[in-house]
Amino acid sequence: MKNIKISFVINGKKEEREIPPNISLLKLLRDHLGLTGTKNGCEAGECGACTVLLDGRPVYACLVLAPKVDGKEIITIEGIGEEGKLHAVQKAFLAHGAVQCGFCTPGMILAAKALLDERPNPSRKEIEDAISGNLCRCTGYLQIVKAIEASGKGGKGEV
Amino acid sequence: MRSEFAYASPSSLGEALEILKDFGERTCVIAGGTDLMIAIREGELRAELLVDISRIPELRLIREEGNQICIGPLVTHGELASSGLIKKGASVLGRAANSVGSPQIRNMGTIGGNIINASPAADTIPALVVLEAQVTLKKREGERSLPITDFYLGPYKTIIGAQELLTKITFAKLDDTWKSSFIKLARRKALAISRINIAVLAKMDEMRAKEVRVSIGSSTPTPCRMEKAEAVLRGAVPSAAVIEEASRIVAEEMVARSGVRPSTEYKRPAVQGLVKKALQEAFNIGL
Ligand SMILES: Cc1cc2nc3c(=O)[nH]c(=O)nc-3n(C[C@H](O)[C@H](O)[C@H](O)COP(=O)(O)OP(=O)(O)OC[C@H]3O[C@@H](n4cnc5c(N)ncnc54)[C@H](O)[C@@H]3O)c2cc1C
Ligand code: FES
Ligand code: FES
Repeated sequence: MKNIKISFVINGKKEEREIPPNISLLKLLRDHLGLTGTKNGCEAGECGACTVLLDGRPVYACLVLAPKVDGKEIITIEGIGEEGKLHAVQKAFLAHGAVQCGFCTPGMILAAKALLDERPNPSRKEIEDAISGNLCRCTGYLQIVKAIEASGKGGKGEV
Repeated sequence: MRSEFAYASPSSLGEALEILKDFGERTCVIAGGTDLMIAIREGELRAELLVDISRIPELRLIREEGNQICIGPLVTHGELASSGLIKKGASVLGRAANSVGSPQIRNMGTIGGNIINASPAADTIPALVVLEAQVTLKKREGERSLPITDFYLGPYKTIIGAQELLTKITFAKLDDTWKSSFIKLARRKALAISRINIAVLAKMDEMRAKEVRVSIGSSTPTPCRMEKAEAVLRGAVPSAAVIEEASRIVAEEMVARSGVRPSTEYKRPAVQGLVKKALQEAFNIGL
């Protein structure tokens, strides 16, 4: 199989790679770029652990064919805070006990960020809808919803 | 072992049709990929050349043409659900699209992929059936348009040829004398591929239902309308009794059309209950 060349912006940085055309964005991130913050839970679009932002919208990296990101912008969990400083949503997750085993957390945070970028003060229903494609086996969701609610209010994470 | 293939990403419709003409049976088209990625991962995709149509801008639009709404196959479920034009002129389709999978699936999954994949559980199909949508298939030599109900041969089987692309979905815009509902019964709201879904459209003339259209997904071998039940409702003033009767007839019609299969017995009461709910919602009574 012939490799193809793609270029894209990942977490604000321009990158170019030669890849086999049949791999997923999840594999591109984890195996080719070493960005292992994006988790592999099911590889079937069912758990949300691989959620990343593609041109600002949440998608399942396991269901995106890697060549599709040519010319696009991707944001992963590694790209949302600044060096040594957590993003407001990350702070709120910690403050509200929304992280237990942490496996769902990167995907949850990106789904939440996409919502908050569009609606800075989302309703509870909007929050629940926004994370409806992300499973958490540990927390029972309430802490997660509260954390997102808190990051919404004033956008400061209220910690 | 993942499927292996060469990859092409044409940037115009002409270029895509050229590739399909030259490589025909050896190609497979990919739009959002939400259905195909699983086949690729499992090594089930047998094509030599994967043709990614997602970079063809003219296939991405939702347009109004006179009294028609015209949707490009690359329009995503998310875009359908948030389109003002769809909300106003075809809310049943917006609601069907909004019920698909999860936000992440709706951001990638397209209406074209939903139609062509031809899953009996596809959510947009019953909505398109009650809208009496036409699909347009195009190849290099020319195009053909047909009613969506003539497009299916069976579960996961359509009449599309190897050199053809679905390029357009069109239907008449509805005015506000039309009421509608879309309901689905699934194991879990998000993610669950729908087991049964139902779309209802009703054109009201004062208190009377002048015309009623009902379609149920995952219950009949190919998508169709529930004509006997529609006849009972046509011209009636919707009441609890009429709705009860129509729901019973729909369930019977479903059984008759699908032949009795193991899942039929479980589905019959579920269908009847769901139709009742959908009709109550469309006619806004008994809720
Ligand atoms: C976790 C999960 C949950 C889901 N939940 C739902 C649900 O609730 N309801 C539902 O209806 N579906 C659901 N789906 C199925 C899927 O997301 C939809 O069918 C989606 O609309 C497919 O669109 P796509 O663009 O991703 O298709 P693709 O995977 O790109 O393509 C699907 C098929 O259509 C063909 N194709 C696509 N576009 C064209 C075109 N323009 N011309 C010719 N051929 C074309 C492809 O060759 C392929 O055979 C779910 C899928 C997953 C993985
Ligand atoms: S790994 Fe992609 S949804 Fe589970
Ligand atoms: S914290 Fe363990 S899955 Fe969510």
